[in-house]
Amino acid sequence: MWKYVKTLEYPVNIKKKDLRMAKYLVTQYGGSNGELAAAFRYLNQRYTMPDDKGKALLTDIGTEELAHVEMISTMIYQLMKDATIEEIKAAGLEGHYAEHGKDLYPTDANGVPFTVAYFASVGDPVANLMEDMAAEQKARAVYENLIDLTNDPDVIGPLLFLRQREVIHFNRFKKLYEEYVKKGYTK
Amino acid sequence: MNNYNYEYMNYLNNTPLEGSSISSNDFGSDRINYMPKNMDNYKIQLLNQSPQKDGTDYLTNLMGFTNTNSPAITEPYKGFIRGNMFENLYEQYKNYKPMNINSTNERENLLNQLQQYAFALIDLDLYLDVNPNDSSAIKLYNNYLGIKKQIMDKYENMYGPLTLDSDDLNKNSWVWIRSPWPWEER
Repeated sequence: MWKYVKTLEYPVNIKKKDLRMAKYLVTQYGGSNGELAAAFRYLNQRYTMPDDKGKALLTDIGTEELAHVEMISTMIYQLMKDATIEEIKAAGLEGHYAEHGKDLYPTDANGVPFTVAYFASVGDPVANLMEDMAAEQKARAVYENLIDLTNDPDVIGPLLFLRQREVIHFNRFKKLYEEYVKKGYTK
Repeated sequence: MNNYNYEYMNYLNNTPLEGSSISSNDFGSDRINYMPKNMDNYKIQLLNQSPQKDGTDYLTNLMGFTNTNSPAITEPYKGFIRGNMFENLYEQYKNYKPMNINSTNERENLLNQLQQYAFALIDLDLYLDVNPNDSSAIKLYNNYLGIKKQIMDKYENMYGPLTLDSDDLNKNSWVWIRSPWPWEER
């Protein structure tokens, strides 16, 4: 089971409203390489991992990704807080407002809603881990794109932190992947 | 030394490490052995000072945790702002340096210290999941766990519970619901 801790993994304190950035950032919430997809990709794959290392690693990285969902959601919330209708229109978020008001909603940066099709899982631990490594690299690249799109240090700080977590996760998956290839843990 | 570390050293100076806030009930009877009994305040205070040239922290070196098979593990504050406790895995993006964490009040300062040690535990855990026999990393994990627990006790005592198994929930009103919630910090 899970226990909630009433803190973020890393502080988010965004003082400047920026609806355009919120619109891009939402992809790390509900996009194909986002944190929600990552969390459930790993938590879904963990049941059939062939050894204890794999079960532990997928559980623990999946759990950390849930904390990243919370960080990204917090960033979007703070970037959009107190937005006026005029500002929402100017940022091209009228569609979001029509459907969801000022609620958060997991989509990609183009408004495509989140789908479980993002949880790749093929019943082969080596193939699944390779997918997970690719997912971490793609998420790292998206964080870099997002960092390029802003000058706000309050936004850049958490994005740099989250980007670095993708680097770590990639390396942990890679270690396990190499071990599983050696052991012949394919289907 | 930045202001953040200075404040934490003051906190450590005023907080006895052993006995006061940690009982066997907090950890279970077998866990009590993991507490940093052999680590005096002097060593703990060195924790947040700048890292050694090779990137390992003072605690690692002072307690003889150095293990040639272990990767260099950075000190908690530096690891926290980087989002990475492992020197060999840190990859800087372009010319972006890690941001310093600036707290605006005592509550936030204590929270940031808690987040710093909680993060060190998360990162050490992921390392240990795939390197489960690295005894120096296990020792470091358990020492940081003891420090995190103390900071958490102090925070919850002063500012309210952070989990639903906190000792600070037994009040006349249900203090769990009190703001700030994590997304509304500051």
